[in-house]
Amino acid sequence: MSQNSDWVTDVERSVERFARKYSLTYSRSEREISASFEIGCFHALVNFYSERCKIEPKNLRDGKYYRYLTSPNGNPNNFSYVRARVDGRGYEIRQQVRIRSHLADDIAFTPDLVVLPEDVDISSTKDKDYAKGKRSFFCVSSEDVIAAHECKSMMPFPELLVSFIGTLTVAHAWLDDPKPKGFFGKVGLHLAPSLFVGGTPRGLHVRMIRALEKCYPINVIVGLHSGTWDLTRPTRTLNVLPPGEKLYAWE
Amino acid sequence: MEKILQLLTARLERELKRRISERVDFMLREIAYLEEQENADLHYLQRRGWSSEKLQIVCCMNSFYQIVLAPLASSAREEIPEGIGEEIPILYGELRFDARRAKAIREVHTAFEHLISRAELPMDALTFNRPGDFVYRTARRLRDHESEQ
Repeated sequence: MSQNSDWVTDVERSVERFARKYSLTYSRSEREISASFEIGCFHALVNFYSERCKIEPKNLRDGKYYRYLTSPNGNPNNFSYVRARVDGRGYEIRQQVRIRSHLADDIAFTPDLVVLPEDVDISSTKDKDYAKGKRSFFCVSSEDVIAAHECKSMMPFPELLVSFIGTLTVAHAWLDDPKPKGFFGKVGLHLAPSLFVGGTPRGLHVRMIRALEKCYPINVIVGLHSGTWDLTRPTRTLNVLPPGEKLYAWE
Repeated sequence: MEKILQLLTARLERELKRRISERVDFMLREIAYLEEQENADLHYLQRRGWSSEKLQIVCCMNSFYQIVLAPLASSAREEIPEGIGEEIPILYGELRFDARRAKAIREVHTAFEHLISRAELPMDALTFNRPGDFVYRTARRLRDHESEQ
């Protein structure tokens, strides 16, 4: 038997043992796998804030379960969130909260994660074009959004990277402020709007990401499937936003 | 390769199987293209025991890891803030993310990494974007290693 076929046979045996022992554990639904990645991004974001703020999970069910909002259909007030407090200011890290854009009332969408000032107003309206007017349409105004973040458990590609600019422009009223783009940088409190991507970038993608991060107050955080979860490590240069300058809506 | 793919994906939902198969097919087409182009790095690897079958198996492992295991392990990392998802279970609709789940997923993840390590494959076998990148990097590593000796 050649060396190569020995190797193949060995690997097949190892995989067989692995599958026999663990396939029940890893064979989860597509929904659970997707949820798991999103929760991983949520953890990374909360860890980022925990380095700067006092963190506290709020609105727990029965005082002990974190009830994660999984779709914009739910009323955010009935779900858990993380409160971050620093220097007398409070912020909320929430999931799946719909944002109505300052650009036009009819532009609304739901990013995976959003950071808001504490106690921001979550509006509830009935719209005949939404669930035939039977259910409430919950949303926050983009005037109140500090940062909206998206999570994509896939390989990065140019169209994905560029499409995040849509999230940036629609969800952040502060972007329209005439202040020069130097308003974001490497020192600040809030993680700038970020696209979390599971896959590893190729060389051209890396250059494109660097260029996008120079042009816009965003981060494209790639390679999470390779374990690049720690956003606070010293070698990581992220765009961040200041805690409270006058021009910002959350001041 | 077929056997490995079948073993890894046997219990997965049809849609996940489809996504893994599509990714593997895409990668195999790229390897076939590299062969057609008489890619120097690929030839270099082949002369050093990296058969087409071995590369195909790497593509299976990579696709399974990228589509199933890595996202699954995302919520089960060691550094979980404020115990959210462990001591404070997360209720995600009907799904529950808690300490028991996290421990079980971590065990699977570690076992798969050991499998890769035992097969003497580099860890970037699990994380590369395109097989051409992997072929290039592996050939470069081997060349560097040989030139050091």
